[in-house]
Amino acid sequence: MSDHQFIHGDVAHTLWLSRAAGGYRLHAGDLAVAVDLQGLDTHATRLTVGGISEPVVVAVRGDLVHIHLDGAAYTLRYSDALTRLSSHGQGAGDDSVPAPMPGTVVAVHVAAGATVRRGETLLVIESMKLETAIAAPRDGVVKAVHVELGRSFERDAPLVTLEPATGSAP
Amino acid sequence: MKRIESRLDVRSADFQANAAHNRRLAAELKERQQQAREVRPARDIERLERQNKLFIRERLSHLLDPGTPFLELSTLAAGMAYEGEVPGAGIVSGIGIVCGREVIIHADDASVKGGAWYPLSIKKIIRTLDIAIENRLPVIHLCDSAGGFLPLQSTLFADRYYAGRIFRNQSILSKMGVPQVALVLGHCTAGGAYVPALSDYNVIVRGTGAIFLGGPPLVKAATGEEVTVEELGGADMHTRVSGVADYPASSELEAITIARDIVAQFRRPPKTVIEWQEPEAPFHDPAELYGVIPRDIKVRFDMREVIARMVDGSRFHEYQPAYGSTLVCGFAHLWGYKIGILANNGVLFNDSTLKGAHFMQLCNQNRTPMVFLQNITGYMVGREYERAGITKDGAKMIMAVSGSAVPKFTVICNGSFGAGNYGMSGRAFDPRFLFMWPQSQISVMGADQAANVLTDIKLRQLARAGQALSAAGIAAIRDPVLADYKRESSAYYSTSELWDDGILDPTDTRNALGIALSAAMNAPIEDPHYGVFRM
Repeated sequence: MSDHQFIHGDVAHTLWLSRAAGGYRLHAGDLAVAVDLQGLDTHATRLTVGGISEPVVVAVRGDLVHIHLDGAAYTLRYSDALTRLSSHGQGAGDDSVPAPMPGTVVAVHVAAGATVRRGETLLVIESMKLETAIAAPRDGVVKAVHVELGRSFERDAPLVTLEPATGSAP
Repeated sequence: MKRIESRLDVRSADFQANAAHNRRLAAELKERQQQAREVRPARDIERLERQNKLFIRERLSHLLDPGTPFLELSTLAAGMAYEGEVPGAGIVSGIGIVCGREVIIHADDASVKGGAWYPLSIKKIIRTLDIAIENRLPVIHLCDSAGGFLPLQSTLFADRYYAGRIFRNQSILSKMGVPQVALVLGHCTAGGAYVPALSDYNVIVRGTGAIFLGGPPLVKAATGEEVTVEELGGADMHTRVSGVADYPASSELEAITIARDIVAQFRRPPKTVIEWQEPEAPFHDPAELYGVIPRDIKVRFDMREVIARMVDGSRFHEYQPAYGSTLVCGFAHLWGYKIGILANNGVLFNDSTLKGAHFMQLCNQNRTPMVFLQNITGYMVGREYERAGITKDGAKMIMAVSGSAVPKFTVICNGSFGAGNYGMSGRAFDPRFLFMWPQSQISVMGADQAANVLTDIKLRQLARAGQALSAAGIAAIRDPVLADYKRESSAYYSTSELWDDGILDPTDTRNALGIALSAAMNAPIEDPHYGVFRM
């Protein structure tokens, strides 16, 4: 279920807004409460939750939502379901780095045993007049580099293999 | 829609070096544009003052609504032709706002060779009117031309896309119900006389404006009749006697004010409705584009990093993210408008080519305008790919791009080589607008490859005659080919020849596309239909 998720501190709150007569209803777990936000574009924004109304200041920057309410400041982080769910299920599929096209190796930047960060250049290939940097698909340790400088290869040939992911978050 | 996660390290030495390089190129572009727009020999400016005429940029500033954007097109046309003496091809063209209406402007620049029409001037006017036809944009003509540049008449008069096309396009616009206003601010002689005559409305300035098929010297030579400019084709004669002109004006300022009032009477037809939502600035700073584009055209970069710095909220719904990965396809919003993006991330293989053709059909089906971001060295070559039918897959992509009915917009971000240019909606495939970035290159093949091919041919000819060539001899063949290729594949050459609608500072691309999209929505979107796809 891809509800909206906000992280406050270390706690994820899963929320959903539904239409209700005269405004919205906020769902959080089994709780459902009438909510309303008036005058969001002015300095006199008022948040009403379950009949209690308070002035509130809200500022959004990217995924961060800063809220000033009842003398306290809160920072929430919006967690997009597409991003959250896509970070699961990355495993063995990313251990091998295959050639995206036939070509020749023009530079090798890493050797077996090297620790690499995601996005770091492993090697550079040339094909069809283009130089392409082959980047690490994830953080990890290089298990083997299968090609050397000047070597030609076919499409999908394994270029680099990473040590299997341990599964524990960094 | 998910926000694109940038994988760039903006503090890396490579990024910084790219940024410095590309900022320099952008500054050079601005400098060249400034020269073409503003800098004229003193004698030309003095002549305008003597004739009581305003400089073209002043005319435009009076005509356009204050504080509104003006998307000037092909500012550097003819920049590498005619020894550089005809900046902007002597014509200003652009899309702007007049009395709240989107219009396109064609303005003769009398400070350049008296406003004479060179072959590229005519090409630029025709392109301006083609844009008006394709997007149903009202036209404002600012007429002040000495007429066709006679020494080059063989390349500007008789052919299909030469001067006659201007008047044909004006007639087509009228037939379509797209209004035109002409301001006669100088002499409109011979063919030029038809520009105001074919406009629905025209305004003529007393004293400086005149319209005639033959001016006084020609009349004297032809019939011996002695006649003054005012008697022959001045404001009073045409607005009181002949009915060739509609509104007399006592000054340029009055003429421009009348023209604005005419435009204010135009009805505002409803625009085509496409998916739209409240615009949002890109999350990733567009200024980082300078660091994204490599200094060396051979170095590949991830076009998602470009998309992230162009679209609303940097959000991108990528279609088939795991298939045919050398062509990135997906949906985004740009200035609120929903668009489909096709962006090259490497050579086109069979799978990426099929994905492109398929995605274009999807965009047509759901009425989503398409933006092509080109960085293409071509379709993959080699036995494996020929056997898999790379040519018929390329043909499918060309069939899809040609049959598309939704507006297409093309930005050549880096390389545009070979048939990849076709499949990715090159100029021949009628994108509504086509822009280039300063460092980009366009040619049938790369300079090195062309030089090698031509050298090889020469060497084989000589070998058949039993001769060989020294290294110096090879260089003597290679070097001039290389030099010509480099010159003629540059963005500045392309824009000089009007193969595009102008060179953009990469950071201006989002705004230019926003204006282009808005302009395109003045025309309805027809149903798509295609020819036969070779399966």
